[in-house]
Amino acid sequence: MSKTLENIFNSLNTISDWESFQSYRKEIGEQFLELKKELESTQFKYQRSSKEKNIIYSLLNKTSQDLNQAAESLKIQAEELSTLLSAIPAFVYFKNTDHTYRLVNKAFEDFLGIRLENIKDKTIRNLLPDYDSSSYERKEKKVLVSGDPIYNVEEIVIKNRSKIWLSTNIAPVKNINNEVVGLVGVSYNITERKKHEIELKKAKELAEAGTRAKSEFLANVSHEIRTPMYGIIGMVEIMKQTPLKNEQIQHLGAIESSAGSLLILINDVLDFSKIEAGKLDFEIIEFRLSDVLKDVENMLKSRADEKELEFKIFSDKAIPETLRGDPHRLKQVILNLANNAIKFTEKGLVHIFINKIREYQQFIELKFEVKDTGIGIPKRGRERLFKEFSQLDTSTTRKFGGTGLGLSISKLLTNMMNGKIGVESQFGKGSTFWFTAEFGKETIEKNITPPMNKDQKDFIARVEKDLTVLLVEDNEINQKIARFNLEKVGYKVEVAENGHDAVLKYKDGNFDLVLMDILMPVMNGIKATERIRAIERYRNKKTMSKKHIPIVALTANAMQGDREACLAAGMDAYISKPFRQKDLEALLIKLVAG
Amino acid sequence: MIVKAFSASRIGTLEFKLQELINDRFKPNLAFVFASIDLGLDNVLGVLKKYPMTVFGASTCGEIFFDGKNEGIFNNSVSVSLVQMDEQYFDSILFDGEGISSFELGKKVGQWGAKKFNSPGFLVTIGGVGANGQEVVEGIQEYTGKDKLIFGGLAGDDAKFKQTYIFNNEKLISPGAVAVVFDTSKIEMKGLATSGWVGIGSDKVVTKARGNIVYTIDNEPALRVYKDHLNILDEDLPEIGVEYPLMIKKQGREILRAVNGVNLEEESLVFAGTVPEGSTVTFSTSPGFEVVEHTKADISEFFDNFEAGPLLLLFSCMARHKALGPIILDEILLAYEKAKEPICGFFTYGEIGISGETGCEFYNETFTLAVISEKE
Repeated sequence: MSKTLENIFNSLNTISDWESFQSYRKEIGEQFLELKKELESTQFKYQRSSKEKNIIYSLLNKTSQDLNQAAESLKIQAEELSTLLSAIPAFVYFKNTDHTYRLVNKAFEDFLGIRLENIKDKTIRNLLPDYDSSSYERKEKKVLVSGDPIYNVEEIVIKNRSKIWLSTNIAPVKNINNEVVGLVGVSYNITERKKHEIELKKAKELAEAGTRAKSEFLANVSHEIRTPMYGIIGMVEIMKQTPLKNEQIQHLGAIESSAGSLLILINDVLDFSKIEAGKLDFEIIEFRLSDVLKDVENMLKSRADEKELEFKIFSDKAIPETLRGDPHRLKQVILNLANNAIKFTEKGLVHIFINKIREYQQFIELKFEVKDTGIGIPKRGRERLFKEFSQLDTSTTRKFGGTGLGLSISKLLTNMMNGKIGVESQFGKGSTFWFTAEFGKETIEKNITPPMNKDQKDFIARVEKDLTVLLVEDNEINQKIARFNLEKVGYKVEVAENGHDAVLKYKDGNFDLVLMDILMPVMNGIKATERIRAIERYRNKKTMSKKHIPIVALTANAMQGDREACLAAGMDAYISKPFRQKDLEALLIKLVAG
Repeated sequence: MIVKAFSASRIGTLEFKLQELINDRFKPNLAFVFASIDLGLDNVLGVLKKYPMTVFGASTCGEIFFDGKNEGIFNNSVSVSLVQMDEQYFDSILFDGEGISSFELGKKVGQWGAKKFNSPGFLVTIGGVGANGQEVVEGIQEYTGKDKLIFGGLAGDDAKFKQTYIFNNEKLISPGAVAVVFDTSKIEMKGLATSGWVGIGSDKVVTKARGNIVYTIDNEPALRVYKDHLNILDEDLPEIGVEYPLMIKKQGREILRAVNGVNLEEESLVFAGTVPEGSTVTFSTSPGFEVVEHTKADISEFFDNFEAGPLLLLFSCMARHKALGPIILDEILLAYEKAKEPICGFFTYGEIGISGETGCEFYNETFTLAVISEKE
């Protein structure tokens, strides 16, 4: 603007007369216009500036307020974060992408014994030179590259010569564009936990070893205790069939009774031990209820007769002939209750009732009741009845005997058969012990039995009359009993004392049947069976035949797992000692006929 | 293509100029007419009706005409650009916008233009305060796609924000739109839109909005936010508010939206174009009078790269005029110097043009120039 004014001034100065005024008039006019424009602009700018000033100041003021507020919030947040980090007992660190530390919390500082200033911008290698951090850094790298966290990275850090276990969660730190700009790690000192883990593992291994030892012990003890017991009972059986004087018959009766009671007691104690070891065996097979009831009757009739008690079994005709369950355990429970009934009844009767409660397509529920007219049970005694070791009172024990285990084992067994057990009683009048149990029903499908070949038919024909049997049994008494039972029928018996001899005798001999004991010295039944089958296979190959000699295991109540081992080795069936010849016959026919 | 442009401050002068210019040797078939409401739009129409030419007309917030010999910026006048060109290469239509949304209005224009030519280029002017310029553009693009050129502006009413009009030589309506579509295989269309406004103040979030109405900013009523921040009164809106548009920041781009209207009850603000809910916004202003240097640089660069054409239409935001006053003439001067053709246009309530490579959009606070010529 001043230039324009200057120009005007200069122009005016050059005007001296009318002529020059005329010539400059246009120019001056234009310059004045120019001046006017400039003035207008300046005026506008000035006015505008005043107006705008207030608005701009207001905006700036508001903006300052906003920024201050934002700064305040950030400060508060930062303080909260700082407090949080300090309070966390875990070790927290922030690292840059080059694995140098950015920020750590107090717990971390304390752990390393180094202040943040001396940790910043250093790597773990700088801080703990003895610690090989390469595998840990690989994990960090993985997080940096993938952008995903990794949890529970375990490492052992050596600090002051002691081992410290750390478990760290490593996570990426991302910026607003979702790019990874660093790492955050949270470490927990799990040394205590690790130590516990190691101890726990040791304890577990010990416990397992203990359990294994217990199982083996039980198996051995079962066998060792029962063998002489069966020896006694078997020998008494044999003696009964020899000519005896009346006095001797009575003495034998006493021995038999004592042995029988002892056997029951031993079985109870062994069962109880198995319960403790969690190893009570229970199997599901097809059996005939009538067989079980017949056994019970046989075992108890004489005792009942001695006490002049009426002993009868009433079975519902609607119950199917064949059931699926554990006949031994069922027998055990019935015997337990019935034995008690006979024991505690001086006069009157002991009746057993079996009724059907419910029948489904695949299962049937039965109720067994043992009614007696014995001494009965007072009210307060009933709760303790089914607990182990308890008897009504010690006087009862002395009068009636027993370990007090029977009922608690029965309770467990009925539970295993999906049933309940209980008692109704009136003191002085009598008791009814009852239990329910579930059994499977006979499977509908029956395997199509292939027609028998000539060998099989021959075998069956001779089963009734004469078989050549190889008896493998190490115990002398058991040998005698078994041989007696077999020869009585007409079988020819050869005895091997152990598995090794058994294999030799088999090789040289020509047997129809092998009865194999399991636990024997030198070579046990399983091994012997394997050998025999191997020889058999070899011979079959050479002669192009398919001979298969039945091998029946003689068990003294072996455990379930052993049964599988027997079958795997090549045995065909098992029969428990002492066996009745009729049972063996039935088993053999079943085996061959299928 | 032959173009003759002029400015007239009275109806009489308008009549006179038309008579003078239109003769045997110059028979324009297309006229761009930007008139002040104060001049009497019916009267303007009355004069225009007499001639057999398509009219693209809008009411203004000030008229622009510069041919090197006059003030360039006028009030209460009419700026006219008469065009004689091959009638096969263009068409024009007026759409009534009553009862339909801005988007629907845009779709009508787009559908019509797309049917007319395979590669259409549009000039659009929209009447009706409260129209959403961005939705009109989006409506057109529904049919044409985003790569077609659209230039134009929102009609004005001398900063009263009461009612703005558009017209052809038969009808004068509000709301509505007048459009001219060119066959861009034969007609060259290019242009630029430049602003230079800067953001000022902290970021805020549009917390409730619908279309071009903003209800709350940072959960405060929008009207209140504006008044508090600018320290102005209800009466000052939208006139002052228009000079301090909201700058929407999105993916590194900034787009300005000027206030067109106010709802005192709802305490909401009506903008000339869509302000999406959730947008990050700040206030903005011209960074001083030097902003004109920024515009001039852009204009220079444009004409360095492109040839001028006989038809130059300028849609300049009235807020620029308010903020820059007489200084705004420098921009028009430079454009004229570069183009060496007369510039005709008006001060708008919003502009449509192209900026960079993102396709045509609706703007505020810009200097938007359309340059049209026949292809060789």
